[in-house]
Amino acid sequence: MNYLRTRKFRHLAVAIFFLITAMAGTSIAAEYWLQAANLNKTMPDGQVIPMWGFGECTSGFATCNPPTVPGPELVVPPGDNNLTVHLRNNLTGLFVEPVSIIIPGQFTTQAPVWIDPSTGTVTGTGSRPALDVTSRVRSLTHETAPGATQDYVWNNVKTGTYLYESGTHQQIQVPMGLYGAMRKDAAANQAYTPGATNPNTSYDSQVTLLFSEIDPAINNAVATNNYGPGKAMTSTNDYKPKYFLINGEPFSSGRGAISPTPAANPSDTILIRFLSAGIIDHVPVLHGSHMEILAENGNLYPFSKQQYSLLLAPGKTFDAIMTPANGGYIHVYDRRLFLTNAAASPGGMLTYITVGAANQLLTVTKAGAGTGKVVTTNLPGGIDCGLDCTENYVSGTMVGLKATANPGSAFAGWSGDAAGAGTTTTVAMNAAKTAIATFNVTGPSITLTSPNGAEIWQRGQTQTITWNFANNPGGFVRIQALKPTGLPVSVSFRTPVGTNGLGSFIWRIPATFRLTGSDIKIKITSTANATVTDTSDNAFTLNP
Amino acid sequence: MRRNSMIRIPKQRIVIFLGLIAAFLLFDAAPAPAAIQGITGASPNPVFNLTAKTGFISADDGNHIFVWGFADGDGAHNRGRTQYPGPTLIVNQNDNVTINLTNQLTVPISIIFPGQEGVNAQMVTGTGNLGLLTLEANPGETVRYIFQASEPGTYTYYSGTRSELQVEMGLFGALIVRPAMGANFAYNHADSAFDREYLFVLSEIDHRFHQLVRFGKTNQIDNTAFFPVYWFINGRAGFDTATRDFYPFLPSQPYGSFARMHPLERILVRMIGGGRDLHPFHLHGNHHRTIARDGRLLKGPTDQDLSFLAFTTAVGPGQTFDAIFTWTGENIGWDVYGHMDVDNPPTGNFPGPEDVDVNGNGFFDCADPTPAEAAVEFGGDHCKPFPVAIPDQKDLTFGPFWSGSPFLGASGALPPGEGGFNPTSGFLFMWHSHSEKELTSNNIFPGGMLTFGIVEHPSVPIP
Repeated sequence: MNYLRTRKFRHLAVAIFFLITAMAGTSIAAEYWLQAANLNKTMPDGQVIPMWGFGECTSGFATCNPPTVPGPELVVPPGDNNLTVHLRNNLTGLFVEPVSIIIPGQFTTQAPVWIDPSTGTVTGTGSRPALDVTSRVRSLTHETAPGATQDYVWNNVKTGTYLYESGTHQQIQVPMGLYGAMRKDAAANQAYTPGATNPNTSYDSQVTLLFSEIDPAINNAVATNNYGPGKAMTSTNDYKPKYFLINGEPFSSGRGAISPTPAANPSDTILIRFLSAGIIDHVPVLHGSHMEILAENGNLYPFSKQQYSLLLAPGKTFDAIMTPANGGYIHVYDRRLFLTNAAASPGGMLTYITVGAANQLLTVTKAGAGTGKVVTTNLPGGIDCGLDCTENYVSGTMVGLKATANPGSAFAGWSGDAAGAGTTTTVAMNAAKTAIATFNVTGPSITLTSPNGAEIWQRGQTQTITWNFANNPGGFVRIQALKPTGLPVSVSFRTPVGTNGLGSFIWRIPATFRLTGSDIKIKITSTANATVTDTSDNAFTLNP
Repeated sequence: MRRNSMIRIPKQRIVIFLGLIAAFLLFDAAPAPAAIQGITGASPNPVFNLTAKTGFISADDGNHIFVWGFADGDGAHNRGRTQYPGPTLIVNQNDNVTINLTNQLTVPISIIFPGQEGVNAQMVTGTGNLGLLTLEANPGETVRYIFQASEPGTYTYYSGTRSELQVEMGLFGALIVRPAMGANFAYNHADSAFDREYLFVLSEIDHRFHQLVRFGKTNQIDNTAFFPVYWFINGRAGFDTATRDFYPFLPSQPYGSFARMHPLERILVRMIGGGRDLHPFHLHGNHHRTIARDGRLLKGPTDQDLSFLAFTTAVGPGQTFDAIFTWTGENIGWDVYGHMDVDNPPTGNFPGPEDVDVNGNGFFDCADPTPAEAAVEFGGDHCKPFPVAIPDQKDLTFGPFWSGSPFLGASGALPPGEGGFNPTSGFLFMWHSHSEKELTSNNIFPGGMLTFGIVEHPSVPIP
């Protein structure tokens, strides 16, 4: 009985396959040329992260796009059963190693690669070598050595949303950035074949949200060949991510495109594909409404679920649909609250799905002789002026702006389509608007930056006193240490004020320095103009 | 040496607290509170005036932790004191809910309401600040949020401004929307009927961050280094969880989580992930049936029942779960009411026709349960004797909750000085995080995310 049934199904499957192949016309297989290569990713705080990424190449690796993290999205058209990835390993640098591609959830024959853990030499492929109890698996499938090219083929591609990633030395190659999204729809604009009790699988527009993290310590150790047995970092045991990315970018008010889907229209059904290539759990929350969760790991649920949140564990994928009531922006953020870039807030896993055409241009300009910057405080971000002073918004968006003056300048007020004298203002984007922020020059200034409170120093140490200055406070400064009572004690009579607005003084604190205690402050004064002066905001400690 | 003596203090504190629990259970004749405390809004247009301000909470190791909390700005609920978590807001389905948030902190704050659609925000006083997720109140200002609570269920609210810090500091709470179907239903469905309900808001604290905020060093906080060492249910650590609501020694932690129930009652367990971490909340005593997630009943498009049984619910941060817990005593193996294998007392016609001895053990057989007995028994165990002979007292170690008897509502002989913490002789079950390290408070066991469900004899009144 079973045999017959299997046979029958096989015939049916073959028939469907030919039917679908015939329907799909010329396209019989999705084929990609990917290159694994090095890249440097700059975080919003300026930290540069060495990474490995996949870059898409034209047929035969004729030309290649720069590698990206995540890698290019691999799309298998509806009806195609085959996916072929030609992978070239172009990693360079102090440390390179073989790479590969696996797609958890998609079946293909894989031959694991075994190594001697002490030497790293390959001891076998496929099953564990006979009588060998010490070899370890380095790769879950065949490897592509540095400089080499290999093919990875899937002949029975399932519909759904999947994560592809390196299957080799995954504990570092995934954190290094070798991952991306892969998808195949059941039909045009239909994620899955509708289920009897889970029928709403069609969508008008779609967005992929791929969550991942970066621990700079691991990436730097790998890039500098300090990772591995006997080296400075021996494992990823102390994984402590500092940057939290959606589609490869942490949130930053002024950075790049503000939305992964500029195309969605109001009342469209949006398919959201959630993936995690990270190593820790995340909980994406859709702000402002529930969504209908259709599928998990590429498998359609028997019944969809209504939730506003997901437990997105490492390696997981979910498909959800939602239909926004209005145009505007839908926020998605990580409820595990990884919403910082290292220690800086805001940042991290926060993004916006644009609903409707972003066609109202906001232009920010700065006026006056002073200097400063203007950033958005709210919704879509997108403006960090001077770096990025224009952004298109969906009509009706209220954009909050905040002006911050540089030292030596003062914010004088808003004009154009923005109003008010306070540093924050709001612009309603129902038409193209211009916001003008005026910064005036104030007099010369010196601003002490260190020690500025809570430092613990000791006599006999060498410490650095630093300050900013603006508007020519004179060529030299006098530095003094003082307590709440008593006379100040000189640290330096005459020190150059510095260059480019920054000054410092290396203080070899005498072992016999007269003032000690937890209530010390530093005072810095222009020698040319005694009214230009600054003192530590809070007291620091100088131990005897 | 000094360290050691510091560690001993909490142990003494626990004993003191346990003593106080017993004292309150025995003598506290305070008016019976409802099962879930909170501010019940005046339907259909409830207005909540919340104030965000600073305060301190008490952990069970004796530590006082600086928090930011929401308080009832009207001064009625919990006397308007800072609360951790914030006041539980209770409204009816389709209410037009207004929340006026006054900021008495030194940083901008806001509230977001996940799962509520069409939240409208406007300033009451001040200019506010368009934040990343919603409109924010600057220090001293008042912002107003208005929405229609269109769907019943268990929800949460929390700060949408620098949430990684402000949720950690305590700016979160529970929102309960009661269905149109009635007060004893969680949703508009008969399957969500309950006899009693309890709320479990799970959260955790990394007290280093609180110290830095307290001392004005917020800029030194690195939230990526988050490493909590305190865990709370409704803002209290075990065993403070077992003390009653509005316990005067915990002025900023007004909500207990001591779940009292009778056998066979349907207990609605509302679970909320209030913090940043996932907590596997484990109910001893029976499986519970998860009926809803994120404020939506688990039903298919044509009323298919998608609820499921579990003994642990992984409550992720910001998520809510509703479950029905019923203690049945199924398969417990003895008659928990202690009906003996004897028809006792003899009826006036002794020996009468009901006095039979089928098994020939010399005692007349146990009578069939009366309708009243059957109503509180799961069945199958009626008249089964306790299966083991209880060892001699000299061979036993006594826990404070042991009543001296294995039967519900019955007490037995105890050595002098033992027992006494379970005056109604209920069956006590630990309900706790099954991430076992969370059963500590700053490395001291027991404590943390730990409370109890207690099954009381049907004759014991439960408020």
